[in-house]
Amino acid sequence: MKLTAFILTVSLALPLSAALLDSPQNGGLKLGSISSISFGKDGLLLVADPASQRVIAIQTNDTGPKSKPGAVADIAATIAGGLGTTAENITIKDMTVNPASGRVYLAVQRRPDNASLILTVDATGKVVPFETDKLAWSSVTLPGGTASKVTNITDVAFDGERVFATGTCNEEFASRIFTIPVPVKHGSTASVISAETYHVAHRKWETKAPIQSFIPYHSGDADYVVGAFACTPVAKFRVDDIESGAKVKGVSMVELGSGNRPLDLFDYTDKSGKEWVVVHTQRFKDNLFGPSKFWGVRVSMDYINAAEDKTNEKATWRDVKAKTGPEGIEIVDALFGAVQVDKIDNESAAVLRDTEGKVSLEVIALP
Amino acid sequence: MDMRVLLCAGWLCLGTILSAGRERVALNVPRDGSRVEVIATSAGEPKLSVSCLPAKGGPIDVMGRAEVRSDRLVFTPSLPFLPGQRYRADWTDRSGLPQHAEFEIQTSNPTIPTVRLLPQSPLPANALKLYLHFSQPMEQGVFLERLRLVDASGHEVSGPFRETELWSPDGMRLTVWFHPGRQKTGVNLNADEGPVLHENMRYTLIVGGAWRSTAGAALGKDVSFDIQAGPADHNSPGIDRWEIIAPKAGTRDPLAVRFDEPLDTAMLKTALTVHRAAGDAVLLEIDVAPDGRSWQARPVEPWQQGRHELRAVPDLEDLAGNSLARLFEVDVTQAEGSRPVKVARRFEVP
Repeated sequence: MKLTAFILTVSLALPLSAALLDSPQNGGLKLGSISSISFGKDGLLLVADPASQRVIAIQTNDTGPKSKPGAVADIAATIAGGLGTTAENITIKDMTVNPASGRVYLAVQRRPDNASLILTVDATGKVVPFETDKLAWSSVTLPGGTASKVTNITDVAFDGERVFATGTCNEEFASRIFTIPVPVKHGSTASVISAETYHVAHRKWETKAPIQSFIPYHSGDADYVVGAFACTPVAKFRVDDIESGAKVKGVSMVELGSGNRPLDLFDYTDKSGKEWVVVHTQRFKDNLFGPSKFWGVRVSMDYINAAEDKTNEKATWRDVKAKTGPEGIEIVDALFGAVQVDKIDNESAAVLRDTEGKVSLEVIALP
Repeated sequence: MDMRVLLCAGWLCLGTILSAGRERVALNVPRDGSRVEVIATSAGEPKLSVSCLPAKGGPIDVMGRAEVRSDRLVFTPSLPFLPGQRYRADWTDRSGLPQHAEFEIQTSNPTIPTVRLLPQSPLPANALKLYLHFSQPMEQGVFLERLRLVDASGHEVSGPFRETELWSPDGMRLTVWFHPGRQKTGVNLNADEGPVLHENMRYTLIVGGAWRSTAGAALGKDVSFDIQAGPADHNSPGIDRWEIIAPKAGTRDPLAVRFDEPLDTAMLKTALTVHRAAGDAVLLEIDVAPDGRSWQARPVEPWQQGRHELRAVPDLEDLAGNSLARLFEVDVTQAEGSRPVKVARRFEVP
């Protein structure tokens, strides 16, 4: 009995990274650039570093207890001052919420030196640098194309079993989905899938459009990547049992309207139990609806699971001149002006909102 | 005691100052701005903070970490101190009195960056991308604010570029994409607003002079490039239509290839290889013509007599995004893979 108790104690004391990282490094992490950040389970932070064509998994040890992040007015100025500059000289490249703790993580780039770092915001609204000196991490290289390297990693996410990343090369107009097995083995190379999808707006295979943002999605027995593209179809790619180097054709389900650039994507379940995917976008043409070029829409997951006869050329078009419509597609008022969004839980989301040039961190209620 | 220490460059003892307790104190900052050290063997407590002194408003705490290393207090900012920015270090001396000193890393007159545009060639009206080559790594996150496209009548073209920012790993080459939604036939944006470029029209690409290098030096003045738009290109390049000018054996004369149309100048750096009959690759020094119409390769070792093969990657594109393997615009109604793709040509080295 004593031996059993001892083993139990030791196993409980093992770091969580033992399950999620393989042959990790400890400390010494240097990030050349950051394009996207996202959380997996148990405080595993995924960082896309396009300058080194890597995805880095960091065991943050930030595992709770969970609380909502504090609001921070004019957070861009706060961050910029702490980095020795002014708000117009920083870009908040991405924001993610750790589902285990509710802490907000921000990827920031400073100008003109392009230096990058990650900051965190806790429940009191305190903004501090994310220290990696004593943390375990593993990095995985993303393979390039036939003629160039991957230099743009648009998004990264964890589906519970694998890490996915989407990216493009800066010379070829191409879309790639990368898969990384978990535990994430330091020094390994990701598998790559070439992705094509049907572009609803012009009724042709948009063979080369890059995925801007995505979520992993599991339905029935199948694993999917649900992605959003510029101009702005929402499509899904079946990615289970796909071998490296394969090509996968996406299925377009919804067209949100042209002249938009998707920024963030997340899914949630509302109080009635209905599932939604929220697509947050930036409009680069004149507004057709609402007060801001930054806007978001929630789409019923029923559309993501649409039957084959309601996809591709028969995909559903959002009514671009109305707040809602057709049924199950609704603009989310609280997302007007949001430049970054991520889900905290099924009831709330963290939002970076631009109000007359000042960017603030807020918590919004999800409808 | 209010003191200001101006730091010029190098890992130096940059200023020796006297604290209020008449103790000798040195303030060190390395050239890269990675930390500040207060060397004060008699410092009263291990406490050091640094604030930034903006042109407007009061001091703002700099994010970073303070620690004690034997005889000194060290503050490591989360990102290096910026040249030209005033900072203030605060610590406590042995007698318990608060002390501070101001410091600034002076800019060392960085070289003014320059920029050139490739390809130096007329563009098809459905051109997909351009490359801006800078002489230094440039600041990121501002390219849409720094680039303007103006037509021959002086009117600015609205929304001409894709919003995605794509730099080469060294930060010196920016891929500037014309908006694919406008350049692609039949897409909503193309139907609503028309293409960015029109055949037989002239344009000027203006690169804003405020664009800074990562060292902080701006271009200084706007730089303009003329762009001539020709007919749209809806055909793939064809390796069979390329002219191969073979070198002579025993020489290091270049192998020259003239293409049937201008090709992507960036992809050409790596897209073509030469192999001997046995299949082994020839080590080459590549030279791509600025107009993308030709390519030269000089071998590291003299050419061997006999059969060679020029191989291209199928993804090699022309200026409209049509690759050897497929057209940029593919109609869903067309059978895919029906067109044989040829990506190799044999030639003899006499």
